[in-house]
Amino acid sequence: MEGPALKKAFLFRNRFLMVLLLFLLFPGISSAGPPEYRVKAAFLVKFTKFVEWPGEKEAASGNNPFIIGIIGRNPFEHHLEEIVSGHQIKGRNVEIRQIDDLENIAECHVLFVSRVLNVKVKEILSVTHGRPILTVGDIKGFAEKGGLINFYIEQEKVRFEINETEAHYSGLSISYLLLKSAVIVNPAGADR
Amino acid sequence: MNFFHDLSIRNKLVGIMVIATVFTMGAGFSFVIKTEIDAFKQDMVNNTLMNARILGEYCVTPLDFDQKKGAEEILARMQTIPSIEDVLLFDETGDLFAAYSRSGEDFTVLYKDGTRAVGFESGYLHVSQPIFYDGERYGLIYIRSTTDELGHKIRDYITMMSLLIIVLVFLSYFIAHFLQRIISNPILDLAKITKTISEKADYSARVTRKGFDEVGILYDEFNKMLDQIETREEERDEAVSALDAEKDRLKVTLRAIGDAVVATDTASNIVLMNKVAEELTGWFQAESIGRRLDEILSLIHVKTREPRENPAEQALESGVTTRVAQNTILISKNGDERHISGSSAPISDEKGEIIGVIFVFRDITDLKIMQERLLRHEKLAVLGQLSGSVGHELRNPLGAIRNAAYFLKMVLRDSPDKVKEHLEILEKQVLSADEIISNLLDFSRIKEPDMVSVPVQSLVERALIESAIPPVVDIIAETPSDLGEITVDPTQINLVLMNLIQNSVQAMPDGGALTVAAEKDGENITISVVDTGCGIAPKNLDKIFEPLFTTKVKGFGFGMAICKNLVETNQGEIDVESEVEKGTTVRVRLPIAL
Repeated sequence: MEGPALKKAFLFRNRFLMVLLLFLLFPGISSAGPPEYRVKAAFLVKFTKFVEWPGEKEAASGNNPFIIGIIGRNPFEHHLEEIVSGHQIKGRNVEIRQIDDLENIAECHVLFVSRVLNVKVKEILSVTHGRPILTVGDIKGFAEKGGLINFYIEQEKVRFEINETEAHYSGLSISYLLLKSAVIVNPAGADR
Repeated sequence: MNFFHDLSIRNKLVGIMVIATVFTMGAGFSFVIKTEIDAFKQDMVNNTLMNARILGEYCVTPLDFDQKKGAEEILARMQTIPSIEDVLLFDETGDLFAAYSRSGEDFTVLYKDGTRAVGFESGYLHVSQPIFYDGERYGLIYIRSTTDELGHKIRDYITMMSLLIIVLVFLSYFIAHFLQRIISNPILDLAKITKTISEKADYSARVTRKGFDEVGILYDEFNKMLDQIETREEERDEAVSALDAEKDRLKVTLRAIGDAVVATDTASNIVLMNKVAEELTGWFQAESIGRRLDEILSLIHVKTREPRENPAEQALESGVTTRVAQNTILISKNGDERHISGSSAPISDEKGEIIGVIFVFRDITDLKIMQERLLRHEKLAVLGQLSGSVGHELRNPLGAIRNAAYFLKMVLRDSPDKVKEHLEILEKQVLSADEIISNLLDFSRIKEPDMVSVPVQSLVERALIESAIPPVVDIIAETPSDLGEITVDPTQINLVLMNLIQNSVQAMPDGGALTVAAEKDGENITISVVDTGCGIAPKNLDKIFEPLFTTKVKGFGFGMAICKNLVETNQGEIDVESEVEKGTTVRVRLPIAL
């Protein structure tokens, strides 16, 4: 008992040190970790676990897909498809749609707003405002403008911010766990 | 344990109750404490698991979104819970994602298989809780907490229990002390009564039962036992008094018997002596009991003075009644010698076993003396008769010889001197012979005494006057004039006294002192004739009163025999004491009145 226990302790300690070493040696994920948009694609899918759409339970019984819309240039390349392939979100098959027409925004559950756009962000957000669409942006100031979630890079790591008030208006229920992991912009109940 | 045995019933009961209380309480408390501690442990486990679950949930997004810092911040919140020492967060692949350590010390991770696990290990609680969210596994939370609080809890419980047990011991002691009386009082009462009964030997006392329990039964049985004892005691008392009466009767009978009775056991030790035996031996029964018979009864042969065999042993040996040998003398404690006759016989019990010896004897000294006196009287009578007739027959021839001698003296007046001398001798010897014959006739013809009252003084004076005492002898007469009269035959006593004076004078040829004294001695008058002469040898003292015994050249040895005869005829006694070359004392004891 003593031997293996000690060994375990040693192993654990080594692993702990190794992790520390890795952090010290490779401070950025860009150089060694997965590519930025693979992380962002994963995050995009993961957000759905912490968000509740109104009537999602009823919708799950039907054969209608869970739609992730991408507006603007798709930066994920093949990553997003890879991540969702064979997976369901909210018990539904996932469909990734390129949104070119603002009228089609309403059918999306998640709308990724790319950095490269031919319309103004404000217009997009005016459509999504008050609708149960999880808007995720990759644009500085997106959340302040009325986007629900916005990616940013901090110390070479992907981080995100959430506009809590907008989320409130959207009718989506965002888990406190997600809120805790994000930087909150325009907190709920704050005076506008 | 012996100590416990010697305790009084009260203390035993109290002790038992207190011990029972302590053990029961101890067991109860131990159980309660164990349950409490188990519950506390379970609480601790539950709380820690709950913390792990909550922490896990909070860590879902940091894990999901690769936020190590966020995870560390969440884990660090555990510093508000003092018992938690370390929290580790492992990711889905089992790699350490974030950690919090209060002390920073290293420790062994016990559970790393990713499942939920709980265990106590050397003062710490280890909890491993997998993180699930929405049915998906995200990683593992591992918490290590100190069990210091558990230790404090146990210590507090033990302290509390000890205090409570002390209080309970005191409480149970007081309660037991109060309640033990229910059991101990009846027993102690019984013990007290038993003690009183045995001390006073009063079996009429009874105990009063207080209930129908076992002690009640004991009381009843005790009373029954007392009844039995009392009955037996009464029977025994009756038997003892009957036995005592029997013994007394036997004792009285034995003591009343005219003969001496001595009983011994089989070892010849004295067990009983009656009064006559006490008188004869000079030993009291009280001092003789337990002593050997031959120590008390010193028996010897009268002549040889050899010791006789112990009569008790004789009877024991022979098993039959054995007579004491003839001529046996008993020497008493103060040296008196007594002739005894008697017999010893073994005593048997009802089974026929010999249990001792009874020795019965009597004093036959007086009988012996009477016998001897009778014998001497007969002897003297025969002698008197013989000498009377011989004397009488000799007197006539002797008269003829004297006459013839006288005639020859007349006729041979002118004859030579030698012839005259022989004639003188002849005449002198004839006179001497005549005197002897007169004495013989006197001895043979002792007349019945003619008793008259005469003053003692005149008797003594007459004897002194009529005796021819030579001038070399000093006469001392010590006869007080107030002695009064004595009833005797004066002629016979005069003859006795003259004879004694004559003997004394003859014992002092070269002179000396002759003392004649008279004194009152109870019912008798004792007249002593004392000389300072040659004395009498001890071997001759016994024979001095026998007829024909003499140490003198002249004389036939009738003097003292005649004296004894005459004194005894006058109801008196005569005895002699003498020491060679010192002198002789003869005492004549005569009764004052007949």
